[in-house]
Amino acid sequence: MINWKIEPLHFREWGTDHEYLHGVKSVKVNDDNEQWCYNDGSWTVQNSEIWVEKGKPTLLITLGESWTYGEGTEVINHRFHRWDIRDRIEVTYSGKLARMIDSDLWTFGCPGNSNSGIFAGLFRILANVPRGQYSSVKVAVQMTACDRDRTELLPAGHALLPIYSEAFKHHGVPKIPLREWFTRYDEAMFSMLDAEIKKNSDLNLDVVVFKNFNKIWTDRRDYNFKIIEPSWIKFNAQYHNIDLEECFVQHPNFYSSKLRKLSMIDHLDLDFVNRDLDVWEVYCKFLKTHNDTNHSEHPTQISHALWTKFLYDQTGWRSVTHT
Amino acid sequence: MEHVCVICGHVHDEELEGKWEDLPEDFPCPECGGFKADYEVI
Repeated sequence: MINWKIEPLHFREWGTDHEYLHGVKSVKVNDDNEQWCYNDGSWTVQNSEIWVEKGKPTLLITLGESWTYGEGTEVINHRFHRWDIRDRIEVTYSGKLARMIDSDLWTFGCPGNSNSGIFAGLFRILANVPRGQYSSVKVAVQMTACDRDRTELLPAGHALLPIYSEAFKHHGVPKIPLREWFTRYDEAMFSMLDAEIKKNSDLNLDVVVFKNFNKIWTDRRDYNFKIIEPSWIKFNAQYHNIDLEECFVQHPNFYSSKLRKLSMIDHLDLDFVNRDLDVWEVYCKFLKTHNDTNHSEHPTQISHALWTKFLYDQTGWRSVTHT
Repeated sequence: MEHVCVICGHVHDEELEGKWEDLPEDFPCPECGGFKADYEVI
């Protein structure tokens, strides 16, 4: 049960009929969701979860963290409390893609969100989509860096807990190399998602998953969802003629504060770590030096538009008017 | 220099759609119907 607030949308003189929200009088907003983000809890935002009901037969659900929220675009900045509902929809890939495929939209983006929080948000939303309202439900899941999960907050039985264990007893079970841990991370998350898709098969789900910072680490592609590659940041870099290599972690101290303690990892492979830190430096340089029309520390509206078209092409999702 | 529609992300193709400078102001984006004014340079 979600305690929605009905938020009226005020007329904008400069709005055009090309906008997704053209003619929409109000939307539903829910901000009672941060306790399940499983991050450090220092972010407070508004209009994080918005449901736009236009009476369409298809629902598009988008989820993620600050990139999906629209942080860093010209008009959205949670530090300055700039989070207008129209901007949250119109400048981000969520509203643009919903317009392209002529669907209703349910978007949940929260700066600082973790992958476990994003997935928890998706599972909560899927449980709350009214049965019978939509003939199909499209879902675009934006995953973030793995070092944001606050495992101490995860509920018992969560799929990530075994790979984060610091006390696993290896009775005949071989330990794994550091690189393999990242594959296990993907597979733990993806198995959880796969199970949830099967559980909600009555919604006629079509799900895609992409990452903003990292590459997909597992080679498995036998899931009930489509994996979109490359990462959003690598996609952006291509517009600067840069072949950007994605690093494994967003916060380098993740190696010392967490990974070196995990009992399933054979040892902290310093060659691997040093190599990843070299990549991380290039990655930071890209963020600092290419904060132009295409990408700053977060995507600009142009980047959101380009990513929309990329998702549109990759998913094959079409409206009845785009056959 | 390329032009992208900020509504939908369509990148203008001069070979297929004509030279940017020659397009009228009401040139519709082939993907979303947005106007020339909705394009930005990338």
